[in-house]
Amino acid sequence: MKPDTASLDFERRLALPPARLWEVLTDARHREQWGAPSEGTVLELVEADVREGGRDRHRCGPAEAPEFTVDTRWYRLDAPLLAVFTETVEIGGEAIFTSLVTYRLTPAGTATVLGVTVAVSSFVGVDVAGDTRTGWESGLANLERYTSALDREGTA
Amino acid sequence: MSAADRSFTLTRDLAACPAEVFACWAEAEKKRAWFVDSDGPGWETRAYALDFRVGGTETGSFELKEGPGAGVHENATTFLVIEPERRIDFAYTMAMNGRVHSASLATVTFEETGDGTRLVFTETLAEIGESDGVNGRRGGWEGLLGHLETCLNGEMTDG
Repeated sequence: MKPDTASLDFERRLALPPARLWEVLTDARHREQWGAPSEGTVLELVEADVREGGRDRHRCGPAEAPEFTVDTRWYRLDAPLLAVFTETVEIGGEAIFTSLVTYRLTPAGTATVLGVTVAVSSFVGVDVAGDTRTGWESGLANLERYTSALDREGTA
Repeated sequence: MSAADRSFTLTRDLAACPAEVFACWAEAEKKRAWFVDSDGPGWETRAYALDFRVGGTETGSFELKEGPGAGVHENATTFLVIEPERRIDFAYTMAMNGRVHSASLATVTFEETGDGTRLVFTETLAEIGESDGVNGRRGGWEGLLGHLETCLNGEMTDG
């Protein structure tokens, strides 16, 4: 059995300074607002414990039946510049993929350049790189819109 | 550094059945024999603990007294997915002298080959600041898997 693995990099310039962006990236309620992987899906908070060694859980999927569970475990939280966490996605109690995510925040004037590295390992043999890229690009597009709106409102 | 440069795969054909090989990862005494007690001269184990279950952790603190890489090296592992005798997925960070320098996602698979087990170890890591990076992790695991093979062959001696 050959593991289906991939590693992906993303970079986005976002409208908020690092301290405000950090809250948006790590606060479980903020993540509900931008973290859904595709249009028409939701990310609903079940429990949150954002600290090194802590664990968040969300439900994800179609609004009428979010059948996936997203289990987030925080490894490193060096606010507001570095976060390392894993996400394991399950359906019906069975893991379908797990990923290790690194956020790097670099100040850029009043904004922030966000670097994201995603290492993913799939258990279901699908196009793990393609699916992961699609999901993250969608989520990061949501994040750009969300942070721009927060910047206009002046609150985060 | 490209994504491909942050990944490596190691393959070992071992003369033991998948149940025996898996036990060397799952049982604390067997894991310790190749993962901890096989360290060469100059290394001192300061702490080690294994809680092998989904969501469980493994932590180790190892000090190299002198020479290149001298200092306290620590691993902090969380087991994410365990399929007995088939697959283990875990995330771990490596720190030196208290500073985390890499975070990794690793997958180990165990495949029956008829006369033994094919073990495939795949790791992708993110470097955090100055780090020995993929070469350090690859070199470390090449050594560890060599120790695992030696243990399975019944050749490991204390120290």
